[in-house]
Amino acid sequence: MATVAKYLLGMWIAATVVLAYRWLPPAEGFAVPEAAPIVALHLPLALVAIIAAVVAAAQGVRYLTGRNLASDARSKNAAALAALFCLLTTVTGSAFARVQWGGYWNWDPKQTCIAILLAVYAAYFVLRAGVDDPEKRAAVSGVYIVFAGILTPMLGYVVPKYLAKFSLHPTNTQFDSRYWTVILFATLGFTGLYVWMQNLANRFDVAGLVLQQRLAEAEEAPAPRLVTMATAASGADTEATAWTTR
Amino acid sequence: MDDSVAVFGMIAVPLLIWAGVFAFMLGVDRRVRDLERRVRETGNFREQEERHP
Repeated sequence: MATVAKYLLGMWIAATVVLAYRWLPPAEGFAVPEAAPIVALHLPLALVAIIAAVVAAAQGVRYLTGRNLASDARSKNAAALAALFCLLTTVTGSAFARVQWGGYWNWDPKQTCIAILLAVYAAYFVLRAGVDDPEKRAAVSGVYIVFAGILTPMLGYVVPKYLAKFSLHPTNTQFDSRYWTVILFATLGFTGLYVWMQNLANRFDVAGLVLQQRLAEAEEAPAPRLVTMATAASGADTEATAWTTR
Repeated sequence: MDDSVAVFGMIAVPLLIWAGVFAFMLGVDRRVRDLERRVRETGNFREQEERHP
């Protein structure tokens, strides 16, 4: 990502926060309408979590069809970011719940579904930690993340909609059109942040894979020049053997 | 007066959090670029070694 783009992203998100708290009017239908602007940040975080989950699943499929460890690394990074954005959605939602319903956690269907989703992503990392062989780990977690990717929009949207009658979330809210403008701004900004994070994590992992490959090559075939130098210096075959096995 | 302080706090807290996250991201970005440069340089070194042992 170009340096200018990074600073533009920084200003974009800062401007979105200011717009959310200075420009948005109270939304009717909530117990405390003045606290509603946080929804303009909460909803985009949830959307970006779903985008990350879809990317993780797509990269999982890509690994399963191509068997390239770089795809597994991309899938793992997207899953970590999906979990991160899920967590941020939970935090902003809990802050809003405290103001609206008097408690941070109320076992509302949406809250319960997001708790299950966080557990699904936590289990993914436990699963990865439990398998030592990189190829086997990538295959097992590739299959798992595809199911998690299907589950994310289900638990994030479909199930809470089906259980709406048990929900504390109001259904009669009236959002001013300005809310949708800020939600669009925030979605673009958070998606940009996600792309930046994903890109950095992928590049870090690819550099690690290159170093691992070089290390494996060096262990398999020690540099012949070192053997020559050691043999010339000592004149003994045993010294040369020591260099090659090092 | 109290209201203006509350509004300032409501905007300042998320902005400060974002400033911290942004600074952290810039730091990570620089570290990753350094790592990539070092990987590239050691790669070139190895290639040169192989070409001129």
